Amino acid sequence: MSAANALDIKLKKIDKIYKPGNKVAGYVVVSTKEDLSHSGLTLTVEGSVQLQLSSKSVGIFEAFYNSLKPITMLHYTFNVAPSDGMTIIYTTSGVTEIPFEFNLEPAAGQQLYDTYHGVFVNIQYTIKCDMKRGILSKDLQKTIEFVVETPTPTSLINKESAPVNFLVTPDSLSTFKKISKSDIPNFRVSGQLKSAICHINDAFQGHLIIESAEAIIKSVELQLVRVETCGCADGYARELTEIQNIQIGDGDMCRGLNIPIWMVFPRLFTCITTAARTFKIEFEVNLVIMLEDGHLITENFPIKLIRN
Amino acid sequence: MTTEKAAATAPQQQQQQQQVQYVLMQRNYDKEGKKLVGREVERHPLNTVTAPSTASATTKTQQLTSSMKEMSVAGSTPVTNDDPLAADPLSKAANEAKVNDPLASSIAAMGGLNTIKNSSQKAQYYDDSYIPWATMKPGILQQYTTDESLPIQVSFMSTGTSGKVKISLNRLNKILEELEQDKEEKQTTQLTQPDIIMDLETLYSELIKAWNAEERVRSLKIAIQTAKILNDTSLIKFYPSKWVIATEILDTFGNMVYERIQSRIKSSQDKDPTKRNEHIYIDQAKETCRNWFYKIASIRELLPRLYIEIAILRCYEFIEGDPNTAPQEVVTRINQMIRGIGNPLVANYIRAYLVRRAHDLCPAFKSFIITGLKDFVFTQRLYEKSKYLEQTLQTYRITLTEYLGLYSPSLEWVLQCLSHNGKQEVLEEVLGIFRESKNSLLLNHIISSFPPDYICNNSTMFSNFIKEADSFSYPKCQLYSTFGVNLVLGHPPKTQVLTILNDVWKVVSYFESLKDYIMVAEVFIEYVLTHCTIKETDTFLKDILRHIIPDKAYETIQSHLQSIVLKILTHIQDFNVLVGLTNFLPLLDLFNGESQKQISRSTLEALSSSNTSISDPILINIFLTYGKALHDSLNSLSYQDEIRQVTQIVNNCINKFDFGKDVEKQLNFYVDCRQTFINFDGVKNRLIYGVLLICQKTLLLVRGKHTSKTSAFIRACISYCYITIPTIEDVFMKMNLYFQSASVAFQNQALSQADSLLKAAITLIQEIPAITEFRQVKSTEDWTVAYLSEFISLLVVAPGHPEAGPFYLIKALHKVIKDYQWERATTGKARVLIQMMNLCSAWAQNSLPYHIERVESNDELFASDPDFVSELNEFYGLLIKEVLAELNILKDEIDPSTQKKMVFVCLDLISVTLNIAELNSKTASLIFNLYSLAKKSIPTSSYSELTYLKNTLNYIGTLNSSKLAGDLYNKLNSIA
Repeated sequence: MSAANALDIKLKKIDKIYKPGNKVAGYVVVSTKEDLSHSGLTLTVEGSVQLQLSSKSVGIFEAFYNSLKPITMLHYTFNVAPSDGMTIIYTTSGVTEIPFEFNLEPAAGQQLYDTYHGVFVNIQYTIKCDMKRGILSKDLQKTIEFVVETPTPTSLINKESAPVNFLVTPDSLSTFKKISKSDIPNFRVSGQLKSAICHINDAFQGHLIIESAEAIIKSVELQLVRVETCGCADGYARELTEIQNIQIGDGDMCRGLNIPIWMVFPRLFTCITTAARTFKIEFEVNLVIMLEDGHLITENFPIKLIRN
Repeated sequence: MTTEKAAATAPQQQQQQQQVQYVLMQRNYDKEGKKLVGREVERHPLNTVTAPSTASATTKTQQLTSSMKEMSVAGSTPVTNDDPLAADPLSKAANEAKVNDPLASSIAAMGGLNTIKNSSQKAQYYDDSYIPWATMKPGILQQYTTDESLPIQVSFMSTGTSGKVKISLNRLNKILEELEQDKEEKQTTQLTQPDIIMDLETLYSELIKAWNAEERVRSLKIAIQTAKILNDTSLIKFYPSKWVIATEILDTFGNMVYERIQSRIKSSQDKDPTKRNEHIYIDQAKETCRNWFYKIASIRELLPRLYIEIAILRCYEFIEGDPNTAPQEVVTRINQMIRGIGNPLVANYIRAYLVRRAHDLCPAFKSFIITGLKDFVFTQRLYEKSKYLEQTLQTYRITLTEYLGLYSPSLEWVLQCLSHNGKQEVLEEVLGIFRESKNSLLLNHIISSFPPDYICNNSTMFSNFIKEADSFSYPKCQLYSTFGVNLVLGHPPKTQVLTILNDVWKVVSYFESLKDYIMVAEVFIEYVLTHCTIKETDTFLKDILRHIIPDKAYETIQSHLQSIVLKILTHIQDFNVLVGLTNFLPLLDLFNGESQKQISRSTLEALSSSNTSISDPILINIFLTYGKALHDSLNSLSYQDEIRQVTQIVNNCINKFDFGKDVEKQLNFYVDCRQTFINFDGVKNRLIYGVLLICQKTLLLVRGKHTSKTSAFIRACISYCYITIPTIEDVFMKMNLYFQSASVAFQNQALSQADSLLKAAITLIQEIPAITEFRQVKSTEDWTVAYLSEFISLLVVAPGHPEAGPFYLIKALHKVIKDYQWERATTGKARVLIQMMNLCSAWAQNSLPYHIERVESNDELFASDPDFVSELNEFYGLLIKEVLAELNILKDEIDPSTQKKMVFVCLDLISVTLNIAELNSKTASLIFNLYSLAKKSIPTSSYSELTYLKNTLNYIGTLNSSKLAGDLYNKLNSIA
């Protein structure tokens, strides 16, 4: 602790997860060595959506630069401690806690989206605390992030979420590389996903069976992909990047065994499937079977993440 | 003595009387003796005084008093089994301690009520038949190694060795590098087994360091690294041990995470007595827990992800209520995900790990284990058909049996957890799995982990299973052995005992390999011994002999045969029965070398544990044959401890041989024993005592009056002793034996032999070492003085030599004592000389204070012979002079302890003189001098010596026999 005086913000909720409409309560924690004077303690709550263009699409879409400016979902400033003249904080224990509270409501005409840390889209909510000290002393500052989880609108939730069956054979492979069928070793992989519509708090589930495969399998993996779209109907950039890669089969697995598919959605890097006017966040899962000889068999599943 | 001689010596005596001499006086022993006064009591002093809280105490005391009454009525009672001291306060306290163990209750109090509840819950689940993981670990480490000669030693596992492990800096850096990089494909260089162990050691110590430095991310990385090591099956023979060590590290990691979260929850309860903010701490702890699981869920590789989730499985109980945290669901899910692991060996071991850790979370949940087993069997079957198996065996250069043997520990563990406290249906399901697959590896572990009684009740079924099981995944002989072990432990129905045996033996008898056959025979002998009769045992042994005798096949299987014989000896205690088995002794003959030594020893031990006394010539023969074998196998290079143990066993056996009234046979037996055990001092000691016992027995039989025949016999016995004693090395042992033999010889009126024995003893005194250096340097002086005192008291009754006179022996002894190398500044010599004075006094009496029956001692032979008396007095005077000379030397010693000893000698001499000598001027001046010397030398602080001095003075004061005594008293009193 280099600074004798330090500012910190502590939220009452340990996991820092709030829903729209919740009351966010916490304390500004001032730790000082001796009595401290200040001329105002303000709190700024901000929630914004940052959009970015990928390097390859910069040139094409200058015209639509306007639509890519950050969206402010909420911006809210209030005083925690009055700033009329000089207020002195008398300290006894060195730590003073000043409570605050506010309602998590979007700004007029705005909507709150899930906290999401992506590559081209970033949705973040922060609380910043400023302590003005006057001319002679340095101002103190502290920023923390908190997480907002929004429920999926009921209209978008399909009542029936049916399991998705799949079957991967040499025939079903989409030839995005020019390979002749004779090169591909014979295989037959069947399976089922519990649903293409997944609860974000639940894991991605299903199972697969390698019914037959002539070649030796090296690995079976699940690739979680984020699909971020920035722009609007006039022009948009759609980027696919990998979030994580989870191995579910290692080595030459036994044929005929029912192998579970199970992947937990990582916090902060996933959010509910979101569509706004100027951006979209969607997700896909790729089932990748790597063969010992270097061949890759991929099956793609677009999914929808929802939250009740 | 003739009257002439008496007349001739009379003037001499008168001359002597003119000079005052020391004169031995006549004593009245009856007056001198003090009698103890006793009084009768009702209750034995060792009975408990408290009110009888246990009924057994009262019954025992009742038994005690009644048995005491019995004993007083009968002459001698046989040894009862009741321990007369069982009711004593000490054993009662010991029994109470077992019930209210203060240590156990205090431990429970320290951990709080929860600990007691938890531990008792756990304890209730597992009963004694459960082999905990900690017990299995060392066995696995010992067995599964690529290098048989180098045992696996890991510093953080309690497998016997402890101590720090030096980790080379290069290795440390290399591993740390690997931790920094997130290489997905690591090139595995050819590591050797010690390399891998060293890596694991490094990982362990790094883990502890990182955790203590609160570097949680790094700790997780290390755990992941550890798990990755288990993906590597090069050095495949080492895999099970590697798994044991690596999972130990993972367990440590898991436990640390769990305990950290738990302690945070607990400390929240302690920190906040108002419980206002308690939920904050608990929420924090829960959040930490969730963070761990999220972090683990994003580990890319399957194996580490599974291993670490299993390692912290217990933490799911903290976030009960979150989605997907129900214990059974979690375990089922992980169990299924294991199917994604391609290598069946790796998969089976992680299954075993899951079973192990799942027990912490939900011990009663078993159906997942069945699923796991089914998966195992399924993969095995496909594996066998594919080329994969062939390739594996080729790559690692091991046989199929060896490869399948690697699965054993994991299967054993899994099946044990499954069958422990398992319901019938569970067992049936497993059997179903077997029926389908006929996998003999599985069958073996089924048999070894199912409850023995279940196996016994369904023995026919299992016998058929064994026949049907495939013979390449597991050797049949092993299956039969395991089966046999269960049959021994359990209780097969009586009607089926023989059918099972026949059924099994039909197959086993035709095993081609002798080693296989004998392995099964080793197990089944116990079955036969436990459940069948002697007849079957005999037949069984016949079959074994039939197999092993041709071509001297027994030479290669000595250890197995040894174990068979040991089992027989354990089950059949009565050697008579054993001898009755026609095939047992031929079996004993087949041993040689080291095994023979072991067998001889076991045979003798069995003999010595016999309850009755033995006199059968066959058993004697067995004893001498095997005793000789055992004796000859030890020499001067053998350990002292071993020699001592063997001596003890031989003695125990000898104790059992009793020929009753036929003492000649007994003597012959002892002669044979001596010949056989020529090198064992301890045995010879026992034999001599045995012979002495025979003499006394004979004496008893003839009621003290020997006939010519019995005296000849006695002489033979004493000669035995006389010849044998010199062959013993231990001086002290020899001295004791000489003494005892001489006493017995006297009692049996073998006077000349007694004489020779006493002479030999006296000669031997010179060889008593002044100090012994056995474990510490110790002086033998006290022993020597005590021995000589006893010896002298025997000499009292020893009759004088017909030619050499009565003083022959005592003067020889006197000379030896004078020449003996007493240590400087000790009073040993003085004390012995004082004892000799007592002998002189005894001989000066008209009648000796004690006699040996039918032995004419000196009082009868030299009664009132004036020569005898004067020589005695002369000798007495000489002794006094010598003691004074000793005191002269001693008084100049500065050492206070020597001074103290000297003072005691002075005072002792005063007492003795007062008792035995006539009080004349010479005696009085002697006493005066001794008293002054003593008084001068006592430091004022020595209470004991001062008291002695005072008491001596008081005693002198009580002597009012003459004026001389009064004068002496006054003189002594006036010494300053």
